[in-house]
Amino acid sequence: MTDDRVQAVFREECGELLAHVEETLLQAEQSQVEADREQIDDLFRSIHTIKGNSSMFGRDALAEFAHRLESLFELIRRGERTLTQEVCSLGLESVDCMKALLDGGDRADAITDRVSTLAKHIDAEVGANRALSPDTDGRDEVKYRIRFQPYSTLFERGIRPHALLEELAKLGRSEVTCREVEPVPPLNALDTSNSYFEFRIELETTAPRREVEDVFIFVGDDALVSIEELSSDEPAESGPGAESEKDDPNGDESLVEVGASASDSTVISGGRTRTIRVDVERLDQLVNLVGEIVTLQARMQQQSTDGSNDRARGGVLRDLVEQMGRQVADLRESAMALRMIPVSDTLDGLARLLRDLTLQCGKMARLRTVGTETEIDKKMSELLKDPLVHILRNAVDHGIEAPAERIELEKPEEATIEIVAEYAGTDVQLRIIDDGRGLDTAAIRDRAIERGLIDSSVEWSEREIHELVFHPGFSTRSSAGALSGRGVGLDVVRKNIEQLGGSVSIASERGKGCELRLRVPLTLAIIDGLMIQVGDEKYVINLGLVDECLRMTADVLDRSASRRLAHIRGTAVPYLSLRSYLEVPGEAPDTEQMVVVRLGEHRAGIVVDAILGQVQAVIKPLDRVCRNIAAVSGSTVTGDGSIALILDVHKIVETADGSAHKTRATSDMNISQGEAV
Amino acid sequence: MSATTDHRPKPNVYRVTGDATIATLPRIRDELLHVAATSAHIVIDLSEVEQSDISFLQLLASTRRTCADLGRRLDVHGIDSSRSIRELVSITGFGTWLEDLPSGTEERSDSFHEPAASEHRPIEGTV
Repeated sequence: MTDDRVQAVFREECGELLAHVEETLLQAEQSQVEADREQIDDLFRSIHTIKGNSSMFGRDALAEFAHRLESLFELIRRGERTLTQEVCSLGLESVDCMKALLDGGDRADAITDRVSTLAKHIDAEVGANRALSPDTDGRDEVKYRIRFQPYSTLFERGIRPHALLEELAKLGRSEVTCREVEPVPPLNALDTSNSYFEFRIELETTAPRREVEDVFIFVGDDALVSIEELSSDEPAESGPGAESEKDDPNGDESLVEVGASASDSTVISGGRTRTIRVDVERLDQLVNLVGEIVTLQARMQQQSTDGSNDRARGGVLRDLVEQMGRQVADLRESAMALRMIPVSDTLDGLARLLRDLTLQCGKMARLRTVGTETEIDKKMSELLKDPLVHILRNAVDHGIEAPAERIELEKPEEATIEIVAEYAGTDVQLRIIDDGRGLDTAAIRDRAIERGLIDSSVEWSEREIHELVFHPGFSTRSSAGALSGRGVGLDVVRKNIEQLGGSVSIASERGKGCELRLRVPLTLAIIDGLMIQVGDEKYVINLGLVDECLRMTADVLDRSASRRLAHIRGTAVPYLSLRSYLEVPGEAPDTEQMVVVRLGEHRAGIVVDAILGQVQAVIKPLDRVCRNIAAVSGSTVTGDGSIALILDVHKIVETADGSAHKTRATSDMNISQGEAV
Repeated sequence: MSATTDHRPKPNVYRVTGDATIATLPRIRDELLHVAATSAHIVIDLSEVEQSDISFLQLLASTRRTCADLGRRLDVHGIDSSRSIRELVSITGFGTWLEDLPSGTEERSDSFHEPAASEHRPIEGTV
C-alpha cells in the first residue's frame, strides 16, 4: 500500500470513529437518564482509538488533542465525573476540532487557536495536573513483560511499530530490547516490507492492565503480542530480552493475546456494521464490466433473431442467450449489491446538524430515524445529503415552533423530525416528517397571487397551492432568517432529486406538521429504460418516469389551444415534439407516438416517431463535446452496438411547459444564492 | 612549517534527507547497494532525516551486513542531529542490537549504543 493510500485509509477510519463519537455523544446528550456504562466505555474506546491511530500515523497534533479528551473520559469511566450535557457539548466541540485537525493535516496551524482554547478548556475540566500524565493515584506499580513481534502485514497496513513502543513508554518506565527473529539479509536480498525483529519490553506502570492492552488494540493478527504481569518479587535482573519466557507464549496461561481479543473487537465495533473496505473505483470497474456483459447479451440476442434461418443453430443460440441472460441478471444484482450502503450512512451528521440548528434559533427538536438499514447506491447516498440538509434547515426554520409556542399549543416542548426510509418498488423513499406548524395555505396563496404566480380568480386545490413552495425563489417570509427564508431550498431540492431520476412531493396539515417525500431510484448505474426513435436516432427515457404511451390521434390533440396540449382522459397535458426540439432532419411519420412522463405532480408528453421497447440501459458518461447538450444526461450502447442518448426528461418537461428559459435562468440564480447561504 | 599527505581514499558520503520510511526504502536500498558496490569507505549521513521508522533501521542493519560481506568500511553520522533517528533508536532499543551485530574484520566502536553528543561523529562500520 502506498503512503497516500495508507493515509487515506487512516483518514477514513478516523472519520468514521469521529462520526461514531459524535453520534454517541448526541445520544447521551438527549438521553433523559444518565449515560450507561456501555456508552461511556464505547466513547472512551473510540477516543482512545483515534489517539492511538493518529499517533501511529504521525498525526501528533490530533493524537495530543485526543489524549486530552481521553483523559476527561477516563475520569467519567472511573465514575469520578458525570457525563453531563456540558461535557457532551465540550465533547462535540472537540469532535469538530478533531475533524478540522484530521482534514487540515499539515495545514492544521490554521486552527491552532481553536485547538488551543478547547484544549485548555478540557484541561480545566480534567484538572491541569492530571491532564497529560498517566494516572498514579492509589494504584500500585505493576511490572509487565511484553513481547511484541510485528509481522510484515503490520507495515503494509501503515501501522508504525515504534509508535506503539512510544505509547507504552508514556505509561511508565519502559526498557526495550530488540532481537532478530530471522537474520537480516544483505541489501540485495532485503525485503523492505518484511519485519526481521521482535521487541521485548519491561514496563513498570501504575496504569491498569487494560491501558497496556489498549496500546495494541489495532494490531489484530498482524503481530504477535503477549503481555505477562510479573509478580512483585520477580527479579528485575531478568531483563526484557532475557529468555525467561516460554518459547511459545500461547502456551503460557498468563499471557494474553491482545490484538485478537474478542472483547476488544466487540467493543470497538460498537454495533456498527463492519464490512470489508472496497475501493469505489474498483467497484465502478466491476460495474463497467457488468455493463459490457449486458451489452454483449443484447447483441447476442439480436444475432439469434437474425440467424433464425438455420433452425437448429438458432435454437441452440437462443438457449444460450437465455442462459446468459439469467447469469447476467444474477451478476448484475451481485455487482450492484456491492455498491449498496445503508441509508444510515446518508443520514450521518443530520442529528448533529439538527442539534446545532435548534441551539442557534432557540428551538428544541430531536431526530428520529426509521428504516435506516434500507440500502441505496453509494453515489445516490452522497447526492441525497445536500437535499436532506436543505430540508432539515427548512423544517427547523419554518416548521418547528419555539418551545413556548408548542406548550401553548399543547404539543410536546421538543419537536420531532422523523426520517423514514423504505423501499418503494425499484425506488427508495425517504419521508421527512415534522410535527411543526405545517404549511400556511392561505399565506402561500396570497404570496403567490402577489407575485403573479397564480390567477386569483382560479380555484386552486390545497395540494396545488402547497406545490408552489417548490417554485424557484418562493418564500412567504418578507426577510431572510438565519437559516433560510431566502426562498432558496425546496426548488433546488426538487431540481436535484429530479435530476437523479426521482421525485419530491409535499403533504401538510395546518398545525400538525409537514411531510416531504423524496423518491429516488436505487441506483444510477443501470436503469430500466424505454427505447424510442426519432429519425434514424435512438434515445432512452428512464422507464421509472414514464406514465403511459399513446398514439397521437386526432382525439388526443387539442387543436384549439394556443399551446401544445393533449387531452388525455379529460386532463390537458402539455407536450413537445422531440423531432423539433432536437432539430432532427426529415419528415415525421404519419402516426407519431407520445410518451407521457411524470415528474412529481407534473405530467408532460414527448412526441416521438416510434417506441421500440423496454431496455436495460447501462449509463455511460458523456464525453466533453456532448456534456453541454441540454436534454441529454448520458448515453448507452444498444443491442446492435450503436449509441443511444439518454434523455434528460426534467429539461424536456420544462420546455414542454413553455417556460424553459425563464425557469432555468431563475433556478440558476437561486442555486448560486443557495450556495452563498 | 610541516605538511602531511593523506593517502587514504575519500569516503563516499550518502546523505539521507527527508523521509526514511517504508515508503522511500526501496529507492534508498537501491542507491546504497550501488554505493556499497563502488566505494571502499561509505559514510551514511542521517542528520537531515525528518521522518524515520523501524524499517529504516532494518535497512541500516542490512547495509552493515552488506558492507561486512563486501569488506567495506561503514560510518554512520548524524544520529544526534536528527531528532527522528535519535528518538527511534532510543525507543526501539536498536542501539543495543546494533552493537551486538556480528561484525567484519575491524574493531568496532560502541558509538551506536550510546549516540555521541556531537554532530557528525562517525559510527564506525566495524568491517
